[in-house]
Amino acid sequence: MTFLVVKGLVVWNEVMADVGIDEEVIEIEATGYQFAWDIRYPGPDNRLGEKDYTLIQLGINPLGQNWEDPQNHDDFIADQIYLPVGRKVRVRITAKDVLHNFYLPHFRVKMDAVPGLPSYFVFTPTVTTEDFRARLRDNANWQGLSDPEDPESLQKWEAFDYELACAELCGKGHYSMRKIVKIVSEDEYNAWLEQQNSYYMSQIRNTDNDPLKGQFLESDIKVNEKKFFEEFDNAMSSADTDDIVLPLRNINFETGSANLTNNSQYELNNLVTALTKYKDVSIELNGHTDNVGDSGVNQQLSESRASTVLNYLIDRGVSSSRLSSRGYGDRMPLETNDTEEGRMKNKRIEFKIFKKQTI
Amino acid sequence: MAEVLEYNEDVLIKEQGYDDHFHDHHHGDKFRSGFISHYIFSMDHKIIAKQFLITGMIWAIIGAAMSIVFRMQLGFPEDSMTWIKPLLGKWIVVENGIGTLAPEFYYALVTMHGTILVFFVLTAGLSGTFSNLLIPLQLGARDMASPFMNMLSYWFFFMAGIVMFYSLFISTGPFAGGWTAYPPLSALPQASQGSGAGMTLWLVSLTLFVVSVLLGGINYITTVLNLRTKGMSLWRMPLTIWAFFVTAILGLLSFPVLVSGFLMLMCDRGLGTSFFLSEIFVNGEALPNVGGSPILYQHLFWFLGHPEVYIIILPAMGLVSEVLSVHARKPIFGYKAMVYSILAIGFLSFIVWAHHMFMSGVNPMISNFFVVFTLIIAVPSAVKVFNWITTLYGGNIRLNTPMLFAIGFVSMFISGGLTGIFLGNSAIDIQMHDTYFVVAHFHIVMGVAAFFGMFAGIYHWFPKMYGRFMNETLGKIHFWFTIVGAYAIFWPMHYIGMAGVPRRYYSFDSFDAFNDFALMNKFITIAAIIVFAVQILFVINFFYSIWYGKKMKTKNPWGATTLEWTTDIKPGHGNWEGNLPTVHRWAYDYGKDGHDFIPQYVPAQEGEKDVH
Ligand code: HEM
Ligand SMILES: [Cu+2]
Ligand SMILES: [Cu+2]
Repeated sequence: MTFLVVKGLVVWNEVMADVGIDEEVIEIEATGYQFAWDIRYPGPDNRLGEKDYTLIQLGINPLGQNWEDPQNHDDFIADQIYLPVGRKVRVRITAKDVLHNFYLPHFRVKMDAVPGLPSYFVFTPTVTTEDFRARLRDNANWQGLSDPEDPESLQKWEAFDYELACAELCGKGHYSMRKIVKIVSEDEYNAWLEQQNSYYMSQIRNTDNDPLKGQFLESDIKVNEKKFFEEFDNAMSSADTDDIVLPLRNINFETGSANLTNNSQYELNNLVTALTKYKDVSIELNGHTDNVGDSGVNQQLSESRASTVLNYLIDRGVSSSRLSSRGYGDRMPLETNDTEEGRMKNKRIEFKIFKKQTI
Repeated sequence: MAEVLEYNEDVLIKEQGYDDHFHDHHHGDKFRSGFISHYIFSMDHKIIAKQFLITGMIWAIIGAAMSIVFRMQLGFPEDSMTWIKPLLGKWIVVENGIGTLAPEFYYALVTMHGTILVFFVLTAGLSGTFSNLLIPLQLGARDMASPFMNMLSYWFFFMAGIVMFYSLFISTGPFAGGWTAYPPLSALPQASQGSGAGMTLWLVSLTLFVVSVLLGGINYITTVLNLRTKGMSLWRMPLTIWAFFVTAILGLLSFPVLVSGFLMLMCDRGLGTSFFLSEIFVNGEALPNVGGSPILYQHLFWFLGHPEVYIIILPAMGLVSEVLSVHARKPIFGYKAMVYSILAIGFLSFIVWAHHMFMSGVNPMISNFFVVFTLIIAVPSAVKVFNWITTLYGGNIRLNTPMLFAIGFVSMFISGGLTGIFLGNSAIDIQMHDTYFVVAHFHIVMGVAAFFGMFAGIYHWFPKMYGRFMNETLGKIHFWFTIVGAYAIFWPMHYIGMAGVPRRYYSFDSFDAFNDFALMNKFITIAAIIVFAVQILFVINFFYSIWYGKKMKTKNPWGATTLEWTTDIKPGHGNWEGNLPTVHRWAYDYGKDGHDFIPQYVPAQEGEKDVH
């Protein structure tokens, strides 16, 4: 009896131990609600973003993710639990409405999901779904059609799947909270991960539900920055001695005015940095508009927008002797002005690089 | 064959008994003035005992009938239930001529079944009946310390029953969130129909019920402490009384905690507090409540809930100890060890509650303590089992119906105690929790065992209650069908549970892992129907025997030592005409010094050794 108690407790504490801080685990999140589970994966950053139950909106933000937390931007919601064999998994278990219980009968995993008090369970799958089916192939109980009504259906053992159920009474649909669990090889897992789309990027980004609508995300800023310097560096190192014109893609103005939008600062700062790096170049800033409205007004607008940018650079310490500006109005469209898309492209700021003293 | 000791009962009691001046008070015949005050608002503990018993039986039939309906759903999910539509009305949904039980109502039935059986039948019906009947009679008291409170105790129970019964018929249905009523489900009408008016009535009903238990309990404790007749020291009390006494103490200490939980739940439901609610989004709406903890309720509930299971089983243990000893014609083995075990179980039952919460999200570290305490309970339990078996060993056993049920109790308690040891090991409980294994465990160890204790008690003390015997043949049929049937019902559930099938599932169809047991479920359902039918037989036997049973001709048909068998065949108010018996020995002098038995009121004989 003493042996039973001691041994039992040792096992208990091993099984229930949380993961260490630096331990490598896959952390996923299961959220129970009447009457289903939502499974959230952390995405490439391996971090689950913040949640707040007051942000929940059915069909729009089912888990109440806080979109201002960048860790949420790559999280995705999967319709099955996919896990690689042999890797430690930590499931963060939560509930939206009443108690539920995250129950994986084949894995001996069971833990209540409590609204307001996240719980967890750590486990390591050891047999893939495929291997388990293979084991069942010779088992007498697993022969026969999986769907007796359908003569074409798979054999029972072929149709086997691990399952997730609810094991805490949660209302009239308690008995129906099923999800399929697939244990696969590391490669299959990675291939599956590739196919998943971040919920934020695919459903929320720049819609009316996006609190960051119209703003750059940190990831955008990085991408833009990279692109800008690539182009700039290329221009500088090219053997071409002609003056090169580059676009300032991410500089925008308020409609009909020469006031910079907030978002424009990133590209402008990139330009400042570039000019600090390449001390010997000077540039000419060119403003363009589409052909909507009076062309005299357009001319003026293009000039004042170009000089707004010029002044910004001077404010940031670029010597005015290296800078000039010019407006072209609607005279030099890149594309047709007949479509909205074309017009968007035609309104732009560019700059011309004078590599005066290339050695 | 041992002979009966020569003594003259009349001399010993009527002349040498204790004169408490009972008849000096001439305030009329307060117990028997008319039909109403005699049979309805009675203050006589014997009548109140019968009231508890018969009310409990009615509830048992209702609760068991519910289980048959939901067992039909589990055993024969495909079959039409149209036949029961006249009774269940809109809860049977008929489509293409096939009637299906609505899932809401399935859960309502499961919930009501649990609540009714645990509280109304096995608490009130068992402890209420026998504490009332036996405490005064076996202690040599005229009645309870406060007959009036005792009467109130029954009527509060009665009102609780009325309220619960009413809740069965309201349009949103009775409460459907499980007998443990965990919030938030039980707190939010948005989350389940049954959590609306049904839950309100459930809470009101159980609060009335607790009042009843407390009024009864205070009375039992006071009576045991103050109204024992001359010579009846604590260590001479029969084990029945010890069991009722400790049961009452447990009830007094634990039920108020339950009520405090209920009050908090009521506040959460009605007053917008957040004791148990936090960060909830339900029915398309985020609730303002933050900071509460649903787990707090579980602590409060199980702080009662675990003692409650011992409140149910201790009286049964007491009855069984008595019946075993009388019908084995042997002293109970290890009387003191039995008393200490009762006390130890009573104490330990307060520090094991979280074994119901291993998987509830509490810190797993805490479970270590509860595992240890829980498994320590197995020790006093095992002591008791050992002593019962040893009492039987070498006994001159009369295998009559009460004895059969008492032995059946021991069998059930062993089977169910063993599975308890599995569950008490938290590592195993990960897989077993909330599966049919738990259902099997507690039905065997508590449900069936307590019923067996109750049946043993009813068959044994029926002559004391009604002056007639119950029919032995029907009794034996009742026993054999019930014990075989009960194992047939609950044994397979262990397998289903070990395979991982969760409890409280309306249907197993949607899961490949759970839908493989159709045959076993059918078998269980058929067994349940048979056992139910046999209980009806018992009820018939019971009522038939009240009026037509074999008449009791002598005062002490079983040859028992305890005082209840010294009263008249149909004792009047005050239990004893004239003086009270005085007590000179313990309750277990069977087969002593060549005498078959020596009643408690017989003084020590010349040269007698070991007078306890
Ligand atoms: C050796 C003694 C016992 C041990 C170690 C034990 C242990 C346990 C454990 C650990 C559970 C929780 C299982 C779970 O929900 O996962 C449990 C449930 C239960 N036990 Fe026992 N038990 C013992 C004896 C008893 C006795 C004597 C009774 C009643 C007379 C009893 C009545 C119950 C009930 C009613 C439940 C289930 C309540 C529910 O969830 O609805 N047990 N037992
Ligand atoms: Cu559930
Ligand atoms: Cu318990």
